[in-house]
Amino acid sequence: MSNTTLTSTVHTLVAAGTSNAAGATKRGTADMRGSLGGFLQLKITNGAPGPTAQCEGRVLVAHTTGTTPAAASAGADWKTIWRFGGGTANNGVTESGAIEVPFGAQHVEVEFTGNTGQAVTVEAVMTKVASAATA
Amino acid sequence: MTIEQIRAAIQADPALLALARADVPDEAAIAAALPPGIALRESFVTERGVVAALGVLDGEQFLTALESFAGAALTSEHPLAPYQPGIARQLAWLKRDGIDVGSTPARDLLDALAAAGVINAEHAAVIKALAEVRTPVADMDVRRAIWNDDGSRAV
Repeated sequence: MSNTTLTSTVHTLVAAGTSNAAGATKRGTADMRGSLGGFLQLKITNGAPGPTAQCEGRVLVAHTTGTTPAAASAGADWKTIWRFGGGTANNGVTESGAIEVPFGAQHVEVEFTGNTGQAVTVEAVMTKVASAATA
Repeated sequence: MTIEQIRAAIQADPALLALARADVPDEAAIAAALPPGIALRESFVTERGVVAALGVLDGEQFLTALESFAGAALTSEHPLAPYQPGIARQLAWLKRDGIDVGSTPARDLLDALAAAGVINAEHAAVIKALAEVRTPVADMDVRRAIWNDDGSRAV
């Protein structure tokens, strides 16, 4: 009987505590080629006062087997697969819940943008199943 | 109120300006202190509606004042003399289908009659309010008035 061992690696796409200024955008990418997918979480934390328009967190993938495209908004390289909003409440904390980056996604990007009036704090972290070894 | 109107109202009031310039502005307190937005809707008011709004005594006083004015012998110098025939006609409507107190002519007329002392100004305000829809200022609109999109303060 054989055993399969998964090897996981943790990728910080946007570091905890990163401030996204009003009108600004923060992005992070990860190369998923050769992996078995991953488990991604995003978080948006408002200050007090909260923003006048909410920050939106987005997950995008790129369908290229080449190197990871430069981080960018949705377009020729990056396609949006999921999004959520951080709201405008003072000190509001919004977590994305579990986002599965499926087997087959070649590259993944997270993007935080859209907040106006106030900065918000954003974070994105992913555990990637890098490989599986059977012995 | 528009964002610009809210901003102007805050800047015109030192107490509101102090609230707005706090590290964490009390948006709810500022919103509560600002006058509500007023939208007008079509609202036809009859004699019955006048009495319902003002009560039996004040309603009768209001209607009697209008009837007396419509039938009075005004001199040509009286500021409302040109309007007297029109007021008499509107009185007739008041007895049938009603007058739209959301319309600008009717509201202007009530104001003019109140200014001339023909009717009580408070009564006129109550009748005009029948066509008014009041919308409180939203906390978020206050926030948008205080902050520019880029995060800088607008007040």
